[in-house]
Amino acid sequence: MSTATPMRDIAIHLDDVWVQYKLRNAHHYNLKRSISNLLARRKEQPEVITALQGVSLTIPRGARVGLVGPNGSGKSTLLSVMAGALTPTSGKATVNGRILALLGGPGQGLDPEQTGRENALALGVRLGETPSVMAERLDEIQEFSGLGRRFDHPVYSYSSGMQVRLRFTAITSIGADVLLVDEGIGAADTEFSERARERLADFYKDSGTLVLCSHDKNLVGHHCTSLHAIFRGTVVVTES
Amino acid sequence: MTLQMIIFVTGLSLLFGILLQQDMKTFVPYVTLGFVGFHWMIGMINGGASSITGSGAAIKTTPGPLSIYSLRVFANNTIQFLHDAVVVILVLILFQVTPTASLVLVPLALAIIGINGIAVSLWLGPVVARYRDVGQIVGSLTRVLFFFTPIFWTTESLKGQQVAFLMGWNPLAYLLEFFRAPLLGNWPTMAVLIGTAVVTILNVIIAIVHFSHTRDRLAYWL
Repeated sequence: MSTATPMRDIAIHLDDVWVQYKLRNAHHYNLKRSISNLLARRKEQPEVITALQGVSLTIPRGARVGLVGPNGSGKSTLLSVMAGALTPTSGKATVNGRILALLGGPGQGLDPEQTGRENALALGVRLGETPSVMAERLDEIQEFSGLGRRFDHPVYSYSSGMQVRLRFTAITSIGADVLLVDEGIGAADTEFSERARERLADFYKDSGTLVLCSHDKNLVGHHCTSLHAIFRGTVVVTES
Repeated sequence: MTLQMIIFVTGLSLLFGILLQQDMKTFVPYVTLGFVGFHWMIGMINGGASSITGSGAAIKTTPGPLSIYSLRVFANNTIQFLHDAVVVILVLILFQVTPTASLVLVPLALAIIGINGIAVSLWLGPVVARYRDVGQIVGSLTRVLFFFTPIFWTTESLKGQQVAFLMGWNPLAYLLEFFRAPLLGNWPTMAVLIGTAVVTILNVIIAIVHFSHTRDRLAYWL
């Protein structure tokens, strides 16, 4: 580890992280095609996309870090690696403590056929909570999200903003050491955005580590004390 | 679903009982147990095939052990099986099947089918994530397996026929017989015991090797 910061004071450490994936078309996912290519000795090499190029980064415990950069620069991929949802092609990602991630679009990971209540419970269980502990939080989630009676309606009937409310509230109702947020509250209305800001502030006041990825400079400026600019898969600027 | 199972099992028993001139007193419990057990296993195979591709959004955004998606398939199908088990109990009582000491094997049979269900999901889910057309092949195979598995016919009825050799290669036949025989008051044959052990050991080994090898690549394939 290149930094002098003791390991116990580090929340996230990335060491020369590379993420490369193959840009596969439908036929690359076809077994019959793959076998016929093998038999005919025909090579169909998919294009390789490099999403992260040797990113090394240390985020101390309690830090509030903003990630900025243009579309396709690798911000979301970086968050996925930090979250442990994506294993780097090479390099090492270390996270100390419990990590929660609000990644992807508004309805990502929600089951449209299930109600908001059922989805909140399932989300919590997938993130490691027991069903009984999560069940105790459901009333609080219903209240904070402001979904009211709609909390017991199927998620397919929700607007994007309502899905954001549900996901944000359910995930942040769980205690964590590190919270990763990827444009997580963009579709919500002003009233909920304000409450979400307060909840994020409460989280890091208790020495939680926050990594926020957003195009909204006001949002990043409001919450974060340091900034990493990402461009073409590398960290190009770091500001405090 | 329980009502659907009653209708299907009744129809199947009546049709093939009459066609094959079977004694209904023994044939109906045989078909019922066969179909309920088969339905459970096929549900886990089909569910296992889509366990990764069907959870793409969750896998890409929610950190956590990926084996949870196989366990979910197992849980969903086992809950379904427990509903169907009501039909089994009713049939066993109605047709006065006398319980014997062989019943002690039933919990073991259920556990072995459960382990096989989780294992098949652990290796088949990643295979389908990598090669999507395998999902369609599995769907076709499972439909054919219904006829190639002793549900409404017995293995004894195939003795001396060439097709009997083919039946020896059907892993579901061993598991199904290991589950069904004790409930009908019979002990499984040595061939069934060996077949069940071989299928389970191979399935678990393939699951451990393939899942640990592909686990880190799954998010890239979705």
